[in-house]
Amino acid sequence: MKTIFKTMLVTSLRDKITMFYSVIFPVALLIGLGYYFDNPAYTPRLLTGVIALSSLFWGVSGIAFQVHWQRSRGVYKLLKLTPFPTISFIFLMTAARTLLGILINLAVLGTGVIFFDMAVTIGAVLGTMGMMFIGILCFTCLGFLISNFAGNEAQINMISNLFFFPMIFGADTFYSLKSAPEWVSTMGGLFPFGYYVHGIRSVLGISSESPLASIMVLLIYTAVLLILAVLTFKWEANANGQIQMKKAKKRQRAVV
Amino acid sequence: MIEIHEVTKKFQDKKKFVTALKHVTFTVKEGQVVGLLGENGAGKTTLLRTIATLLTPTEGMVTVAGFDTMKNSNEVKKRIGVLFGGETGLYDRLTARENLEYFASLYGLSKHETKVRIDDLSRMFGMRDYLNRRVGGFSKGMRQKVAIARTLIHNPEIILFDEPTTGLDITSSNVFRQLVHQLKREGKTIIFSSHIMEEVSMLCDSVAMMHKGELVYQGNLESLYKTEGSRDLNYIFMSKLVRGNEHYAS
Repeated sequence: MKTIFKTMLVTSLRDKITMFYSVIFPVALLIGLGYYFDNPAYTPRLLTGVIALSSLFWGVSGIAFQVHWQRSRGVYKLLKLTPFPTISFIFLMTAARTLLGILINLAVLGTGVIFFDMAVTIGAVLGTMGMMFIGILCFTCLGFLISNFAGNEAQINMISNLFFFPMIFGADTFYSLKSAPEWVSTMGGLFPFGYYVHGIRSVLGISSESPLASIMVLLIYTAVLLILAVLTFKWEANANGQIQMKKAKKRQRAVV
Repeated sequence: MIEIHEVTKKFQDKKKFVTALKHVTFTVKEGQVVGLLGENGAGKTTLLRTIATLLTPTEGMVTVAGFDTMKNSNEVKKRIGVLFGGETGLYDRLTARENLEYFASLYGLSKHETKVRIDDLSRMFGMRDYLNRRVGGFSKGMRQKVAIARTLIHNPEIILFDEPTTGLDITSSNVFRQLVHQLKREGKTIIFSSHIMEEVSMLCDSVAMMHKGELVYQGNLESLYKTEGSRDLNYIFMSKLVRGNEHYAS
């Protein structure tokens, strides 16, 4: 278990491109935009927005590409040849990525504290960690689901964007939606991202809302996405990278 | 060691059923090296996957070292090592050692057992120089060696190779052949599918020929040469296929 967990952490940490976009990019974005706007009233919104975006990209794109890579390289097929339960493998992979995601976002939060004098209590940090855990888990399940439908890397990007655009533009992450048409916020409300943004703001004490509603909604999304991801999970990709194991499984079930 | 009894495997393709294996029966004894021959779609991979517990037979039964592949799949998994051609399943960002440690943990090996096995395998395959280097920078031959070491990490009694030299250059293929010789000397039971007759005649004690899901021949290579009056396995294989097609036509 320990070696497998360590392997999952090491493979993610050694991925220089992912680490650049997950650590350096959000930290640089926060510092750059923070100094550019130079508005103490806006900095908390900017900070929570960058944390939320970083969690979203880490959870969705990160896991979708990793699962696709592992599937196309026959990692899951090999796993089925060992006595190690696949469900434990997926759990460890998710746990390792969630842990790394929390650490990355803590670095972003730390940047906000150091560079912009954000006042954060220990309780708020712990609360944020809890919220990050739920949020990243939810986005990771969405990433798993996307990887089940995408046949190649290009399709992962396309499907991810179908979720990213309504989530990012339909939530008041960086700007208020008060003057936006009502359908924009209605559309945003159909996705978990906005609830995560509000949850992070609540636990950090940036808004007076209770985080409970956000937590409940995120947990429901996580459960639904997890069930869908498990139901559509595929073990293998075919020679062209197209995934068809589910069909083969269905056929097999029909015959056996 | 491996007993395949009346195994039939059917898949549903759109509205019709495709029979990938038809009442296949054969036995592989301990220490034997068996070459599985057949055209594309003959059922070789389906048979290997069935032995490896990845597929469930529609009819019939497979036992490995006395364990039913359906009822005791975990016992079977502990005793077999499988390598699929073209798929090493290795992590590029990990070193060869880390990859082997990872697979050892999937098989439940202790730290000490893992260390001993990695030392043995790296000595056996001459991998010591690059054991601590990341797999991403390896040549195909080096990757193949690590993949075979990965297959053997839990010291399986039975090894299944599915077209293991697919995509390998001559040097890497030769390395693979030397390794099979080595494993043979260690008394491992090996089944491997291949399109390369030269490879099969060089490495195997016996062959199993498949055609359209049926086993058309299984037996000792020397007796096959005697019966057919030729030592040209390619010629023998083709004539068996022609006979098989005539049988289907009639």
